[in-house]
Parts: sequence; structure tokens; C-alpha cells
Amino acid sequence: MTMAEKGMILRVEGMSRYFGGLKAVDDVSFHVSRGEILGLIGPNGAGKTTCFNVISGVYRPTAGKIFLEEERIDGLPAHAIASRGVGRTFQIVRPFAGMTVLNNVMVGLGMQRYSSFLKSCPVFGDSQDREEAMAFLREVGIEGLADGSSSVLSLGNLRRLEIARALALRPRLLLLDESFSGLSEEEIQQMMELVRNIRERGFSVLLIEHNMRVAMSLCHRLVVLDHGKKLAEGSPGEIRTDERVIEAYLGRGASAHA
Amino acid sequence: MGGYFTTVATMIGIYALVASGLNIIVGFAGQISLGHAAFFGIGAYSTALLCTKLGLSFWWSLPLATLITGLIGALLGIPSLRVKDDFLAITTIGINFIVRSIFLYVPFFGGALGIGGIPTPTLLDTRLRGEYYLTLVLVLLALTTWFVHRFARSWTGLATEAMREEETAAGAMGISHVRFKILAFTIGSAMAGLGGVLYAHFVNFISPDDFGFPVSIMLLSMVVLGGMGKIWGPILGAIVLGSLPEVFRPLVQYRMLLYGAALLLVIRYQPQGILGEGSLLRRLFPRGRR
Repeated sequence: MTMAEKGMILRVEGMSRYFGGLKAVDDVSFHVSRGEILGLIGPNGAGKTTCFNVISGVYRPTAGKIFLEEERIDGLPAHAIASRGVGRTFQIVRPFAGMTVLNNVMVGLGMQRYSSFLKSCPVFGDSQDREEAMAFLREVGIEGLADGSSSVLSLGNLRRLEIARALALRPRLLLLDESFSGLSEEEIQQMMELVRNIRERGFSVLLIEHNMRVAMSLCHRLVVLDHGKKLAEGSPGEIRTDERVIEAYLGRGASAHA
Repeated sequence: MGGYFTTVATMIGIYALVASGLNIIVGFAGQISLGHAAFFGIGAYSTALLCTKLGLSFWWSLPLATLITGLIGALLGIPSLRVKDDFLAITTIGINFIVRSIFLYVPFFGGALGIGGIPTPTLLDTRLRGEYYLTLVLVLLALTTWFVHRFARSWTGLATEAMREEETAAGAMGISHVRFKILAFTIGSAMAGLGGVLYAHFVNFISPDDFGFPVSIMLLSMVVLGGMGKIWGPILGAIVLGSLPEVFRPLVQYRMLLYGAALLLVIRYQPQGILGEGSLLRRLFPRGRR
């Protein structure tokens, strides 16, 4: 094993996912290094969210291998991948709407218990659980909403809640699916600050982003997908000037204006 | 206390227990079941056979029949892993009809004649009849209600509710939908089985029609009326729907009409159930959490 491989949190090798004749993800390989923010970008329908769904176990890959550090995780069910330390958010937010904001995070706190009958028997939500859950809400800046219902939150706060819930799993790798979309400029600034803080606390982050400015300024490296295939990979500076990327986004002949 | 009152109260207690079991499946786990009477019946037939054919006493048969029903419930909960919502509703109706048909057509289960001579339990040389039996039912109802309360406050309960609210997100939180759906079906069915045991030893004679599809509808109505996912919901539902036909008894042929009208009114004006979020009772008494 090389030094680079040792520092890898996630390694994706030749991952494909077909839906009938549609090759949503086609032979994609990349990796996320420890402590890195890797951005997955590409035009609509490029296969970014499908990539997330395969990595997090919502779909099985049609082909390819996925490693979380040394362990192979492709084909495992979603709950098994989550319990191995992959936390994620959803592009279309999925809160536990009938629960309070605090209990949404509480669900994440209990992650290690759900695979054991005995461990999931005790009563949840003692003062220590509450304190821990509050710490995650404080981290994303919505501790004031803890005891309210999660069904009345704004989109920005729902995205924060999803991050708090994923952080509560204490994941090795955090997958953020368009956490910036639908947010105001001010909220985008706050969210970027939040993601940077999360990385500084030692989490590795893989994120999907549509907003180029955000992706360029936040990510250490970018992987560009187009029509399910990997188009390019590199630093934001390299991607910004890559002819193929500009063509995929803006069409042929646009590169001169970019 | 008159015998009539005791009989009605005992039946309400039994239905409250069975409906509380259905509430675990429908209310907490969010899996629609229109076949709960099947498990009520499996509990009743199990104890009837254990007592009349094997000569077991009520006190041995009670936990055994409850266990048997829970295990069968786990098995018959497997379809819920594959089908959802209206398809699951149809599947569970099918389960109800199949189980009832087995009782009806397999001679071992007594056929249309059912099984008679199910003994009235005795405790310390006292035959538990009338008020004694009602007390037994209420004690077991209290125990199971405590159990449901404890379930709702456990990590298991939290995971089950998360799965109901958002199955994909629950998966991303490490919650296996297979595990928690089967668990809900097991617990809910075991409670129906316990209710079936109490029913069989109360009426001393059971036949397939006691556990038909209309009974499933009634049980689900109790849960919906009282408030799905609320601990006291199915109990209140059982009290209301169990006593309405008795209250309206002088009206003879119109009483089922009034029963239906009452149900319709609640669903129209209190869709979350009498004890549900935002219901009239909750606004009047805002402190109770469940």
C-alpha cells in the first residue's frame, strides 16, 4: 500500500450504476483523502446524486468497488454503511418531520445502538443525550429551535439540521448533497463557514455542489462528472481552465469567454 | 356492578389491548395493517388448542400463545419489507382472509363449529368470572400500556418512529428497516395474541367469524379514532367504539349507522384522532405529551 492510499478515507474504483439502459454512473473512480473537502460537480443529470446513493448504500452498484479506508463497503445496505461511519444529507431534505428538532439529532446519536437489541432497550434522551444533541445543534447554529417541531423549519435550517443529524453519527466521512442550494447569499456564507469548521474538526467531506463559486472556494479538489462519466479531476484552478469542463457546462465555443 | 356492564367493559379492555398492539404496527412503525384480527384469532386458537387438546392450564397457555402469535407475526410481517401503503393494506387483508379460511376449513381447527369448552381460568381455587376476569384484563391492559409507554421512550421506539417518518433518512442514521419493521410486527402481533387468549377464555367458545375482516376494520378504526402513535389513543378509541353500539342499543337497526357517523365525524374534523396533534382535546389540555 502506498502512502497516498493510507491517507484515503474513501476510494471508489470503476463504480457504475445503470437503470435499465441508462448509465447514470459509468465507470467512475476517485478518492477522498483524510481531512479533505472533495467537490463532486457537473451539469444536471451528470450522475452526482446517484454516486452519493451508491456510496451510501441506497442503491447497489452495477459494477465497481468502494472502500471506506481498508474495508470494502459496496453492496452493503444503507444502515450498515452509515454505522461504519458515513454520514450524509439529502438534496431534497428528508427531516423526521413528526419529531422535534432535538429528537432528529437524537436519532443520529443512537446509531451504535440500533444493531443491538439490548443496547436499543434503554430510554433515550437523558440529560447527557440532550447535552450531546444540543452540542451538534449549537455547532450548526440552530440550538434555539431545539424543542420546536422540525416540520416548520426554513429550508436553510433544514439543511443545517440534516448536517447536525449526520454529524451526530460521528462519521469518518460526511457526504453533503447540495447543502447550499436554495439558500440566500447570507445563508451561503454561513454554510461555507460551517463546512470549513467541520473540516477543521477533522471530518473528511465529499460534497455535491451546483454553485461554482462555492465549489471553487470551498473544495481542495474537484471531480467533474458529465453524462455519468468522470470528465476531469484536479484543483479548482485546474478545473476552472479545463477546456472539457467549460465545454460540458457552457457548450462548444464558449471556452473563449470563460 | 351488573353482569352486562362487566361484559361490555371486559370486551372493551380486550379490544383496547389488541388495538394497542395494532398501534405499534400502524401508529409507531407506520405500516398499514388491515389484517390484525388474524393475529387476534391466532392467539385465541392457540390457547384454545393448548388448553382443550394438550390440557395446559390458562397460566401456561397465556405466555405460550402470546409467544406463538408473536413469532407468526414476525413471519407474516415479511411482506411489509417488499410492499408499502395501499399494496401492504391489500396484502394484510389477504392474510386475514387466509388465516380465517384455515380456521374454517382445516378440521383440526374445528371448522365452522369452532372450538368450545375453553376453560375459565382459576386463581387460588377461585374461578375468574365477571368482575374477577375484568380485573385480570385490566391488569394485563395496564401492563401492556406500560410496555408501550416504555417502548415509545426507548431507542428502539425512537428508531421505529424515525423509520415511519422517513425510511431513507432513517437508513442513513444506521436504522435497518428490516429489523424495526419485523420487530414492530412481532410486538404488535404478540399483543393481539395476548388479547386473543383473554378473549377465548372469556367467551369459552370461539369460531372463525370472531376474527374476520370486519374485526380488523373495527380495530383499525379504534386506533385511527383515538390517535395513531399515541399511547392512550387506541384505548380511548376502544372505549368510544366499544361503548357506542351499547349506548345506541335502543335504536336497534340504526346503531351501526350512528357508529359509522361518529367515525366519519372524527375523521373529518379531527383527522389526527381524538388524542392526536392539534386535536380539540390537546388544545384544551395542552400539557400531556402523549
